[in-house]
Amino acid sequence: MASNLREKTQTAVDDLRGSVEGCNLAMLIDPETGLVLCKSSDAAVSQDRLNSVASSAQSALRSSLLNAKGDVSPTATLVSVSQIGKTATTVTLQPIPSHDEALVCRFDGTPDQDALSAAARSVFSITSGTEAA
Amino acid sequence: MTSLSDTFSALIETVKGNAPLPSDVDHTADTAGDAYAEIINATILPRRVTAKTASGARVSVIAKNRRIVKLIEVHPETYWDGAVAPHETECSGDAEAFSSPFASTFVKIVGKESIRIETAMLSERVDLPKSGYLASKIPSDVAEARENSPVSKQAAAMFTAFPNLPRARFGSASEIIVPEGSAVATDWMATRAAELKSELAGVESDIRFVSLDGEVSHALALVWLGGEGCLVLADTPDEFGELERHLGALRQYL
Repeated sequence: MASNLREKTQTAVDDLRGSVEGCNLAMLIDPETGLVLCKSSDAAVSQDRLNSVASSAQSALRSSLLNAKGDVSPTATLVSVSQIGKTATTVTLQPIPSHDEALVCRFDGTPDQDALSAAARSVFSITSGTEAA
Repeated sequence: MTSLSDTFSALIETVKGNAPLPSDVDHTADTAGDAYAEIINATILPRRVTAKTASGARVSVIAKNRRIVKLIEVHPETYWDGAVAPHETECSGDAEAFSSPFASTFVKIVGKESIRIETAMLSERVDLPKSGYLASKIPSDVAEARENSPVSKQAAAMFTAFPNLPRARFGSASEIIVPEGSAVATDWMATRAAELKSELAGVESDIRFVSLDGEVSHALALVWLGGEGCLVLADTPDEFGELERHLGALRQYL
């Protein structure tokens, strides 16, 4: 059962990276510990690099800016934080209420937020066990 | 003769191992323009000259007879300010047609990073124009471009760019505007601004877009550059798109 869930999750993360244009790295992390649970990438990525991206994502989720979500958008079901760099964008997504996992995706340029959100919801529906039969 | 001797002296020192290869030298943002001009000025036979940062931003030209004669590549291409594509642009001393957009692009590519400058022989024969952009003009044009795009003014510019949205400026200046009918109150924006100012105190730069998806979606755009910050709240897809595009254009200041 557990390995089936792992396989389905990996497939979903692979599908996300393949379906959202410009995504060169997608990974599922534990936002509490920063542990990388699974990843999908164009090319080999060192563990140090993965840990660095995960750490940056943890900081993004702890930002005071996310204090806004309850006040501004009480019906929100997904938060995404895009950290815009010089040539790449890192997006961290997490369901609301908070989940045991968060998705972190790296893009060349600016991602299609709608496509990314839809693909992320698919991943989270699998990891939370709420995927439609 | 003196300048040729300096060139050969530097070459001999490099071959002897007493000096780093020119392409291995990191030039700071402040000295990048001068260093680039020096290399172009030392280029007589056609060579490809590429200035690039660790983040991957780069500009690549063909230089000959102490001038830039062909613009090959600008990456990201969105950094190019010219009227036509880089490779279609005629290199010249004309400010509007070439030298101003080139200098502005160079400043965006360098940003606040250091750069390395690589030179290479051309791998194939290329028809090159006789005219070009003189190396001697590069330092002053780049200095002028740097003066015209100060990093710290970008937060204020963003505050002005979205007059109908709830927004806050923080840093050395503080201002909050919450139009009537907004989803949030002035106090709420003030609290967010204060929290962010504290959070970003030791941070050099931060550009972020937070999207809250649900029955009713909202987005928050944050810019923190040069010690000045701006936070804007939006709640329609059109506004989200405008904010994202605005933030994307600010990459050059990182």
